[in-house]
Amino acid sequence: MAIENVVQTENELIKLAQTGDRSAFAKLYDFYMRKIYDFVYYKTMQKEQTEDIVSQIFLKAWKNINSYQQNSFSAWLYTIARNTVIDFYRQDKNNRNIDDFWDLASNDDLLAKVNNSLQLQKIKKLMINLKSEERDIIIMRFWLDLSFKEIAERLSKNEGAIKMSLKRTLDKIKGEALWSLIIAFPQIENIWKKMS
Amino acid sequence: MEKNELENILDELYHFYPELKQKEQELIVLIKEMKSSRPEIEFDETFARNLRQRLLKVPVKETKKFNFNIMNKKIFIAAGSLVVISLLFIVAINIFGPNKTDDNLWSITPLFNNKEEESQIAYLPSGSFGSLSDLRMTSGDASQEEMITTGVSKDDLTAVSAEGKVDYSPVATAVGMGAGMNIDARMILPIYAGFDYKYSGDEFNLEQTSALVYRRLKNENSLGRDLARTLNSFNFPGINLDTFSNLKVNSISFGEDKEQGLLINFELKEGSLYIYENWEKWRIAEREACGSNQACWDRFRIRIEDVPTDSELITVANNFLSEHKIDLANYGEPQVDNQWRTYYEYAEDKANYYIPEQATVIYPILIEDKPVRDQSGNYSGLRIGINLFFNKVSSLNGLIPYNYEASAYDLETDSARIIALAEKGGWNRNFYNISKEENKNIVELGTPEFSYVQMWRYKDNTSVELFVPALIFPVTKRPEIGYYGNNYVVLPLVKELIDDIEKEEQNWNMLRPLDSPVSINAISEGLEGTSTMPVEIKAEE
Repeated sequence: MAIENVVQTENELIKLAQTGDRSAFAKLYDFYMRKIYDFVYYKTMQKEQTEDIVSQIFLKAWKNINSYQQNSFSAWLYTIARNTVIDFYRQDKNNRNIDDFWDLASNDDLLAKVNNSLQLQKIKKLMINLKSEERDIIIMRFWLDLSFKEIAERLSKNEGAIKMSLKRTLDKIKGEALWSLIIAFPQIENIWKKMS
Repeated sequence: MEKNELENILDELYHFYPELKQKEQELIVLIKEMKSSRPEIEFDETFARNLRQRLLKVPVKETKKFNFNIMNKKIFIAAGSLVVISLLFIVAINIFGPNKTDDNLWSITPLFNNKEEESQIAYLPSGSFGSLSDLRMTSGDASQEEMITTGVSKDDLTAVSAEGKVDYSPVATAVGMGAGMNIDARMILPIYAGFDYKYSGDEFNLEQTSALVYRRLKNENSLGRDLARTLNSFNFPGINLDTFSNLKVNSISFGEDKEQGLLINFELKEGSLYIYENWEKWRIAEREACGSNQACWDRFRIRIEDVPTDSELITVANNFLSEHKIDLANYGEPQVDNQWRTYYEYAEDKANYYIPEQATVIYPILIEDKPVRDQSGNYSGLRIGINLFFNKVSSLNGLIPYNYEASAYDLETDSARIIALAEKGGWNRNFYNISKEENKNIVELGTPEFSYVQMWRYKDNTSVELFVPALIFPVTKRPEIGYYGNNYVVLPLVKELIDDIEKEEQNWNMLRPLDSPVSINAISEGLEGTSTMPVEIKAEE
């Protein structure tokens, strides 16, 4: 969902921002900042890195606001976000093929620092086998609670493609996921037994 | 997880893939666990507020489009003139970017000079700039090519070895003259000064195994070609520009037609701006009339009491930059270049010591908040020259856009090795260590500071500017007289450069110190076997 307020539509704000109107861009920032922050956080799992990257994303967006010519501002912004996360990781020579935190081969220390570390360690084993976009869909649907329509808009895809991608992703991870989740959370075993 | 939410997800999936319903329980477990493993987000409201404020201070680039195709040289000559004038503004804008101020004026404030805009650094895979070994060509240790470019031929430097074999060696720079200095064969080489560098700073560890090397992007774009195309529409007397092909405008100059006026030069190819004196407007007629009257000339010499204090010089420079709306966002705190004062203090006849007529204020370039230095360890960046006769800014150089590529290189991590090389004089050794007595002429080095050192790579008639991570060791204690070396010893941290320096250090050990001054001509004439032989050269392997 884009900005829909009683005063100005998102498109009006963008046009004003493109003329140099800072207050218009500030409104866009207010609306999208937390959404982008959360998305980036789930791709870095660290507050400091998230702050660095989010700063870069909005600086890029503001600086390049005149180059925005697409139909969806949120898609444009999320594209900047995804690319900035990738750039952030790839600036380290050892991370040339890294798209986000979930691609990192070894980060046990880091995982230990974040909340739900035990659960995350299991989730990570699932996520590392997914493509970057598949992970984004998981993050957006299950952690950011975005609808398929909203995910489709942000990833510049149609809704059907997103659902198909999620289905494939779930197919890919469900076998391994269930076993690893059972190991991690014995209480699930009861559910599993009932299902069987 | 609320039941409705779960149902919504399932319904959405079933709508497209009804067959999934057969595995509903599996899906429910999976979805619930994916949801329950959602990490808690740490979010700082202050960060969000601060970022908002920072964003509102950043100027945004406005898109300006010009259509050159509609120009008609006969009908639209007046309009064409306007376009040219506009283009000249665009030159500044393209090089240094627009900054729309509240006054609605275009200034030459560099858009790219806002250090917060980290997007102006493009991060490339490691090692993208190739081997850095060729950077040594431009440093103080001369290579064969460098000697030729500095006016020193092999013949000038010919010496005869103890074995009677004729060879050549970088004598000129071995005595500290460095690159870029013209050397006359009649010059008397100074005796090697005997100084021992000794590290007396704190212990330090080098744990970082790699760091970024930066390469400046020069912003070369189609602007020069567009300008040339537009200027073609004018009838220049004496020549028809249309007869030339693929024209580009490489530079544009403006001159202030007034007393103490300045020349402003945009170098489009280099992406830089220079300002210097419009010479005709800075003449001192009374001095020019002195002829051969030395007393008259002396009246116009700058005396030590004429030199303003550092803070006064910095104020003059700051006022100039402020008046011309030159943004310093990407430059560090200004410092006055006072190197001449060291030599002045050493001079016995201070009354006749020549004090430079121009003072220089340096605003060091900052790359990712780290200051840039030159190969001698002095700050490098925006240099403002102040003519001390008029107490006015007379030159500016080093104003460059904040636009770099970065690539990681392996670093040396052995601090003992670094210190050992620092005690040999580092990257640009000026004095060959010949001390024979213990503790004779000790120059002490303090704890180093991390910085980037500006280097140039000259290849295929083009120059590339690189910024290399380095340690800067300050000279903290020097002999009371006679030390004309640098105030810093510089050592790059990039491993391959350290390897090169160490290799060269081994070559240095093949040199034997001079006992007395000898002219280069004398060397070339071959004083074989005498005690005044300046250098013992061993044939290179």
